[in-house]
Amino acid sequence: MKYIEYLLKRLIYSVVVLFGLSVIIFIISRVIPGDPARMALGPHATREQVEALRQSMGLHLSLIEQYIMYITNLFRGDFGMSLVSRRNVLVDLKLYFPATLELIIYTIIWVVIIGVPMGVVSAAKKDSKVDNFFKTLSFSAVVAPAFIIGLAFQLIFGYALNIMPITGRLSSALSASPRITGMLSFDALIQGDFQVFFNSLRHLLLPSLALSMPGIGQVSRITRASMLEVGTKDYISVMHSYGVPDGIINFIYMLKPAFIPSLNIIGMTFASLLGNAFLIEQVFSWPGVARYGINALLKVDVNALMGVVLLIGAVFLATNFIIDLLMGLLDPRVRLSEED
Amino acid sequence: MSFLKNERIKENWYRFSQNKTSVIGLIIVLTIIILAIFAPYLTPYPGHRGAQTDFRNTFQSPSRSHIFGTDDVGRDVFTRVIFGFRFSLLLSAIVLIIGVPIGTILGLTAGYFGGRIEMVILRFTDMMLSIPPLVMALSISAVLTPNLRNMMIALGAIWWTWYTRLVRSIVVSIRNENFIKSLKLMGIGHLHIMFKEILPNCISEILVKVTLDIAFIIQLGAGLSFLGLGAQPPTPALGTMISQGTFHLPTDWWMTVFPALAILLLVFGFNWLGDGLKDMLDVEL
Repeated sequence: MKYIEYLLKRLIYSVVVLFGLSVIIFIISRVIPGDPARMALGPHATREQVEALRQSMGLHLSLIEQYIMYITNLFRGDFGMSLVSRRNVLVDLKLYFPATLELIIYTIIWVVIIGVPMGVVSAAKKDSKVDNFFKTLSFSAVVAPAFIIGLAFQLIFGYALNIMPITGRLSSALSASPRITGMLSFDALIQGDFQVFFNSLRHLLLPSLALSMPGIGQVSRITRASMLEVGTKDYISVMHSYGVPDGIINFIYMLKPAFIPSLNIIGMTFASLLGNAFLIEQVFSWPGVARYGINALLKVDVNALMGVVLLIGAVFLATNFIIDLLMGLLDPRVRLSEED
Repeated sequence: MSFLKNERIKENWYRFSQNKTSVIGLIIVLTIIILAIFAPYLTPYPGHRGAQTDFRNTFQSPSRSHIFGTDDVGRDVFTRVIFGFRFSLLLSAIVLIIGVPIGTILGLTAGYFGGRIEMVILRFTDMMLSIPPLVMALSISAVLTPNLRNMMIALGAIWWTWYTRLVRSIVVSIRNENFIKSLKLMGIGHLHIMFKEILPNCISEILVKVTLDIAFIIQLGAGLSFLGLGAQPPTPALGTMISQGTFHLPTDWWMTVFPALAILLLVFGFNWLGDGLKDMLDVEL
């Protein structure tokens, strides 16, 4: 099977899952008790107004017709009106998503640049003190809930040592650079505003580190295990006997095959990462899409909630598609195997 | 026979106790279970589990009469933490009682029959798995009003997926074994083969997964309560207590720190125990 064919297969699969997700979300939104039109208009609207809105929302149609209407509206960019902000939910999502995306990007950076080397060193120095320390550390990182780690960071670095900002994205004295991506640190960097850049980095550090802890633990565990496995291969012994430096063997020749399972794990833990983002955003008052979702939830803002869940599902599928793509590039066995 | 049985128990215990942390995990878990069961008799102020208030004793820092301090309405935090154990364990128990049988039956069915049935069940499972569990639980608890019972339903409704995958993968690995084939040839009913012959092969894996999942569910439940979507005050759920405590940081830190430590104790205890069982039963998850 060719690479393109493999990618197409994965893409179709993602689209099918996304479609299924939209059905589930739609069903959930329709079993919510209460009349959506009445809720949108509030208690003071007249019966005629409610009836008119019911007509325009299509609530008199059959469920299947309603679903088709919902999907076609989604494709037109109409996610429905948020009951709280009174705007198209898509506008809200565009406003809040960059903050979440920024958090996730830094989280993944930490996972890769901390988790992978930890695993490599652990495997190279198997059963040493360093290995045992890293093993304990990664176990704790996986087991401890991320939001409690976040709270601990806040208490230690924010309140006790007072060296780190506790909440928000930027100090109130500064104003963000003009919006390009909506991600403050990148916007500031592009426009050369280094004061804002470093300030936003400082704000990002604690939440993104807390969010990355479970990932770091998982990745270092898997990297260690697969490094140990690769280490028993003949070609590695040959390299050792030729006197190739350990560092080069470890980080170049062994890491490439050993990195593939880690990549897979990053994809698999991404769901829990997105879930944890809800908690971390709450702990650090991070104005992202997850916090928006929580507020929507508490106020029974159905359209906003559906938008958030759909967006999170789409992000998850997109990430896994990118990971499949990378895996295919790195490992010919993945793209050449018959089964999916 | 009883001699042999004793020997087996001894051997299993030996393998389990090889790792110190497994034994610590077991001790933590047993202690917590006892504390949770006998909470009304072991806590100094059992009345403080609910809405009772004592406004003369608000925000007391930890002392001999209140070892974990008191909260914003004067309730003893230690008492509430012990009752919090109760709610955490209850939550895990109910979620697993809902989720494990559903997941196991679906996994058995998918693995045993194969073909189209397997494909439909697996695709549906994948779809459910593509939604982060917390998000799914959020949406479900949004439909139903947020409280402890609905949180249990929400988590139970998504929890089966992991067991479907686990059980199915084991069934697939043994479904073409000769003993299954000969049973089929003998004309033994499908249900008998599935539940009496195949299921016992999955028990060790399920047991280990259940132990580790208890920790995971406690963590998720605490997260949901922290977000205000699980148990509502004055229920002494650990997550709820933490979220109320954060309003009083950093001066009244004990309101946040002790419930947080209690959650850590729970999740570490069950994970250590689960890892020990994993070594003992020689299970790979």
